[in-house]
Amino acid sequence: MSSVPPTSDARTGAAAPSMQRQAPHHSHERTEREREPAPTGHGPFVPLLLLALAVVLWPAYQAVQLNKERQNLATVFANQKTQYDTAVKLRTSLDTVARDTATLASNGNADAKLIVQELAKRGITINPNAPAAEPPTADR
Amino acid sequence: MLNSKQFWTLNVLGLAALVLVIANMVAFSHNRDAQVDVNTRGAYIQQAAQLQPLYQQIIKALADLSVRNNDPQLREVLAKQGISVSTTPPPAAQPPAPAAQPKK
Repeated sequence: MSSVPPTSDARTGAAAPSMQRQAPHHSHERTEREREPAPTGHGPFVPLLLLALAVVLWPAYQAVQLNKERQNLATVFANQKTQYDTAVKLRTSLDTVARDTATLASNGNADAKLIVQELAKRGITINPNAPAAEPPTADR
Repeated sequence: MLNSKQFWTLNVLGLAALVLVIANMVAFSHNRDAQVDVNTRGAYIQQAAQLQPLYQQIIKALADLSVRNNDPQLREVLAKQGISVSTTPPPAAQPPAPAAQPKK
């Protein structure tokens, strides 16, 4: 097919009677179109609102999840209390017994020496001068 | 252009997002600290559970030796833990009751 230019203006639908009269009419129409205001209803508010909602909802979801995690950790921490108290008591008792036994052994008690030697055979050495181990913090 | 209502709506949403992000940062930091505390206490409890047999063996050895050798110093060590060791022998077993005579 040959590309023949249409005889009528496709944008306006107005017929062009002749080539000589078409030029001034066409330029006048373009000027009017440029003066037309932008079509309404497509402002930036809707996309910006969607963007803002996404930016708000994502950290809101994260906040909910972090709050759930915090509650779970608090529950676990509270459930550890009994075991933790027992563990602290046991460690304190063990430290005291071991330290007293080592002190007795260093003072010449034969039975205490025997116990210290048996522990040493198992790779356990007692340092009576060592400071007591600090338990982890009990409260947050 | 945005009208006044739209402008302030977007501003409020942006401010809410900022507040939420800062709150999440703080909450995340707190949760991480809490997780470290829970893990530390769990490890401490686990270590104590592993030390419990050792403690029982030491106490048993102290009690055995204090009774066997009548060692008051070891008994004192045990007494500090609230453990008292008595050297009184257990009561002798009762002689078995005579078997009932079968009736004829």
